Amino acid sequence: MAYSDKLLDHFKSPRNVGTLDKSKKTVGTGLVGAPECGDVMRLQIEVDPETQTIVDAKFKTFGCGSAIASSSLATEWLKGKSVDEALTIDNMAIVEELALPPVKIHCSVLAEDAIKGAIKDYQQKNGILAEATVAEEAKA
Amino acid sequence: MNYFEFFDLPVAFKIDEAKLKQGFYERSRRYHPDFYTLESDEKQAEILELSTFNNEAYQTLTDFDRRVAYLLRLRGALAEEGQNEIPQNFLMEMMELNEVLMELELDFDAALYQKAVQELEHHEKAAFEQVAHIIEQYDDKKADPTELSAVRDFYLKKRYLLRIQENLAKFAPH
Repeated sequence: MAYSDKLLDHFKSPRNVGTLDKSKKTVGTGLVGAPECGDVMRLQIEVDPETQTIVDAKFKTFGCGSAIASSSLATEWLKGKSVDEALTIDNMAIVEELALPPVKIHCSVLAEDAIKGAIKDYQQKNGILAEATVAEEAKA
Repeated sequence: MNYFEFFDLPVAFKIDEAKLKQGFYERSRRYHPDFYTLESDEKQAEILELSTFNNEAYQTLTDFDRRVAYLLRLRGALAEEGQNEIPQNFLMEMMELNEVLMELELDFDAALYQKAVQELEHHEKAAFEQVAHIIEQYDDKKADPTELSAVRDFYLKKRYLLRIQENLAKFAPH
């Protein structure tokens, strides 16, 4: 199977690998996994509370090359975005950017889930209720 | 007809393995295509289908993990790949174990390796103990959703642990 240059680049030299201090109020952590293949992905964001902008993003992924590349790309995209903008990142954008083959699409879904998880964690820590969450609770 | 019914076995996580084997051999003879070469094409196709079903059913039920996954899917307790959530604290532990694996890869240390092996064994034991009674006494007439989801968690945890075990095996002293 031929992988795209972009994918290989992110896999061979992943960006923003590391850990942010999860005890900090400005840091949100998303931890997700794909049990079928044993992948674990942790993605963290640090938000400037004044501007609601993501100032830093780090990840650590144990899994296949596509999962590593998807999360690496995600952290690159997150930096400098507002929290609201970050919420609109869709897994298909990752699929397109990295030209992921169909059997690896679930890796991009994992990355999207990790982003959403990190944002949710940040919002919960800071007492911010996302609009989507409010709507869901109203339904319930 | 599901695989359990096919072999006249109760739908359960624990099965009578001797009866399964016996049933499989018996059906392998009964549905052997060689005995039907003079029958109509339709009949031959039907027999071939039954013989394939027999093989698939046996392969699935004879393997504990595959049997567990099959029963969970049968009762709607296991989602499609990528849609199964797993407890956060367990994920955190798997993250840590994977980190130890990475350390071992960079710089092998016998004591750290031993510790990882022990931790893995501990996790396997703990995961199984949580559901051992359900696996033993599962009653399909009740098909209790809480029990099923506990077994599902066990099944998913085992996927992670197997992967770690495979990776750890690379470092095993020769």
